[in-house]
Amino acid sequence: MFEMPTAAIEVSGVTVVYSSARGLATLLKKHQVQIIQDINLSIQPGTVYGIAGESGSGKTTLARALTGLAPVNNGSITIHGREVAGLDEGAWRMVRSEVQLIFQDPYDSLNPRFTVFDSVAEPLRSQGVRDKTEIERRVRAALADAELDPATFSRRMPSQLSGGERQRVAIARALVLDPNVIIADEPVSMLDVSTRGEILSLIRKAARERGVAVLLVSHDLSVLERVCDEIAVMYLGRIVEQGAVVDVFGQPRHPYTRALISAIPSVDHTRKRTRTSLKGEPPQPSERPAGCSFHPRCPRCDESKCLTATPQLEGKEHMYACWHPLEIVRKNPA
Amino acid sequence: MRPPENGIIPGAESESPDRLTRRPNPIREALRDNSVRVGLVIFGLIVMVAIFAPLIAPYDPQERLRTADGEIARLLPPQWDHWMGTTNFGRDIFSQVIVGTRRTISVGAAAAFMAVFIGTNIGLFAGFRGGRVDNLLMRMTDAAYALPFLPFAIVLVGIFGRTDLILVAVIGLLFWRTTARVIRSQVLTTKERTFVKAAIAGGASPRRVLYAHIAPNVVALALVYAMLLIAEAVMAEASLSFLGFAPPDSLSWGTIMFDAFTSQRMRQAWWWPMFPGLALMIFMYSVYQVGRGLQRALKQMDTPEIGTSARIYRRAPERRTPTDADRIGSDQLVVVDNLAVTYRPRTPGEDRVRAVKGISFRLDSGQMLGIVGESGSGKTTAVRALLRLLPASADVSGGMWFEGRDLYGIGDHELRSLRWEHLAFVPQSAMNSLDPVQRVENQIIEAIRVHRKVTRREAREMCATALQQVGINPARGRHYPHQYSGGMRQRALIAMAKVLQPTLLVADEPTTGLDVVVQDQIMADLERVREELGTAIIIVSHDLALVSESCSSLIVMKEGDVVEAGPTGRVVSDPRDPYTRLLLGSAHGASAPTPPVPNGSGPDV
Repeated sequence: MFEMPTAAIEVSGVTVVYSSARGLATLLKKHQVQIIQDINLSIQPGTVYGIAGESGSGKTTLARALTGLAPVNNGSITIHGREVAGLDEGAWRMVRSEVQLIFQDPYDSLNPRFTVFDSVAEPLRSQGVRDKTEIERRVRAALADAELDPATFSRRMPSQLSGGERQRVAIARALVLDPNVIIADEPVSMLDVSTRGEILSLIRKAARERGVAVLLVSHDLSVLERVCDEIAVMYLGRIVEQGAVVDVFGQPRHPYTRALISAIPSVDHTRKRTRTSLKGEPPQPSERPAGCSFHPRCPRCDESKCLTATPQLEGKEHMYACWHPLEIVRKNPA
Repeated sequence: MRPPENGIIPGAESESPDRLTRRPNPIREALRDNSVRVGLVIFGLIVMVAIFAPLIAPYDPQERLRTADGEIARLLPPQWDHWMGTTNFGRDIFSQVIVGTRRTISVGAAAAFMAVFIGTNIGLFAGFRGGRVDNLLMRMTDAAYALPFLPFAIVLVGIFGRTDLILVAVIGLLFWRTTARVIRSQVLTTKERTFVKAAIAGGASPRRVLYAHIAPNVVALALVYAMLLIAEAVMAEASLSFLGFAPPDSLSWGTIMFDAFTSQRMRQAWWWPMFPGLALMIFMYSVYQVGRGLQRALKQMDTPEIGTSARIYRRAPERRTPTDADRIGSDQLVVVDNLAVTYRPRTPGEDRVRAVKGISFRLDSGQMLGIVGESGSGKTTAVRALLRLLPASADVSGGMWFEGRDLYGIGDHELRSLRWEHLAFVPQSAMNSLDPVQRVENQIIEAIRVHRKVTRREAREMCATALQQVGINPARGRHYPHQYSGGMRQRALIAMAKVLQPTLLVADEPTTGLDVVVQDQIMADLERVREELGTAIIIVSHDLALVSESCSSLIVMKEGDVVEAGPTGRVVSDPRDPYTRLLLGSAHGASAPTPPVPNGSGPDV
């Protein structure tokens, strides 16, 4: 694989293994559980890349691995050409200014004792910026980019902000260091429905205008559909389908992707959708089914390969890992 | 879980009306409490006494006083000149107690400060570093717990002699242990909070993470412990002084009692040990009141949404005037007529919160109603009012009828008999309220047997059927809640709610926090309950698309007002209120066109 010089972040073959054993037993392989396996993706500057999946799919672990908060056991992560997988904590701190995070819970992500200004200034101060006027200038710019009026909000405490406003502060904090990559883990799932749209468009705007590569993790496919350029669907730690959003949503090839899409409730009453055909919930990563991990829940599973062989991602732009992919249906021009 | 005899699955109280108000300052919160105020006044007075002791004391405490006829004033009982009496050397006990306050409090405070200082630092460091350092420090703490106070004191005093410094050190070196443990556990939780992770992601150094982010959020607790430790340290100083470990010729409440004891005249002179003892008691009382008050205030701050007022409360029947609905009430399953809820302010002077400003609806058997709104819209308050489950601070008006009965006109007993059997409720995040140490099956069986006279075997069969109907293999009923996923727990609760075949089931945010696929399964379960049992269902949700698929009618609420109500088809296809349109715009749907993104700030509630 040759290195694409333009990618802001390039992930290849990343695997994260957790060990349930303690002490000497950690040497035994049988206690090891692969939380994510062989993840490949690359994000171009200015684009939003979505990771979809249910809880337990490994999407949050992937986000943590990309930020150095989870150990990477195998594979490589390069950020603007610099290898970061396997860096220790101290070395990661040097890279922190390049990768910033937006967290799920806006009610917990701001230090309750910091003003909005201090929260946004904190990464600058952590990076050793001492010049007061520079801090002031950059914080104001970041707040303005997050569409918060610096004059109104700088002195406020988190308790005086609504959920949406808090998440804007978190976005300003992520932008203040001018990072190349922003990882947003479920950034709107705890917000009111009517504020979600604004926060999502803000994230998209940050990507477009500042050329940031954004990795957006969400269980809510409608969120991903709205802002992402590309998307990867994860199931039990593996990517089962990935490609451009229009392709994946328009022509899902993996039965799991289709099930996820069909589970989204819709206000469109003219087309009554059928309830999901999926039974049960995903198994634990420690009890990964043999063959295709999805086969116990798959409506298209047959007795052949599905039970024995693991399907690999196939295809060029639009990739999917399934022995019996869904056929391409021609869309009605209606 | 307690058998839900009143038909209520205990769940976290959610929508508190003042969720977004200023985060309370613990000291200000504590000061609302009268006992804290009293404690603080007494504490302040005692400190003032210590500072101005020489001015207050009528005599020199060590002076041997003489009576008018020139004799030494030995062991005079309390009287006008010596209103705490005198000692066998003719010293004025009142003056001794006043002057003794100084040493009592300074030694106590110094020791408490030392203990809190050591304990806070050890706790911070152990909790933050974790691993081996933590282990080592915590074993040290255990060792400090194992050291018996008096032998430790006797040995140290024996080696280093009777000085104030040794007294402070003995207390300080032993009493840091509780603070260390509490601070450590607080650090462990704070370390996991998102803002700490955010600081790390921002590149903060470990030192900065600890001192700028973690420490300020835990040291408030140290303040509480400092207060409580002053009491302990003062007590310890008194005990040591009483045992004769105080430096010679020093004067504290403890040494007064020591003198009284060694004089062997305590039997005649009851006043001698009593007044310093009384002073000690009053001091301890004041410090504990303040310390406990602070502790309570901090605890409430940590769980702002569950505050003490969230107790489930059964409102007394309210006066009301009969309306048309009285007659209509008998025909329909549920009639709600102009229901309004106001919360009385916690402190006088604040405004009343009008959580629900008037909502009316009717519901027949087998119908499904969706109440949609965002946080603070009053949707949860509205259904809780219907179920008579609001805290005491809520005033409810309007009429509510269920199966022809006036829900606010019937007695508690009748209400209890309706609950669960006719009127089932699954509160928000109820799935986290299953008893972790009981098998799921047993919890459901217990609930059945509280309400129905059935044998255990019959109850078990009912339970198995109910589990089956929500897609849980009855064999898994033998499992414990932690072996269930979130979705399964929620489904088990729906099984529990429907097992007695209620006529009305109210579910508050039944799918929040669950994945789309599971959400879909749960909505299918609810629809099946409606179809098979003819149960009327009210679903409270923030997700308009979700409820619009199942419910035949919708109520959209915003800031306590009903902004739109009507049959689902009409509300969805022809919304009349701009807010409904906004929600529809943000309502998802893979097939729906990407809605225009609204400009500016949304409605902040």
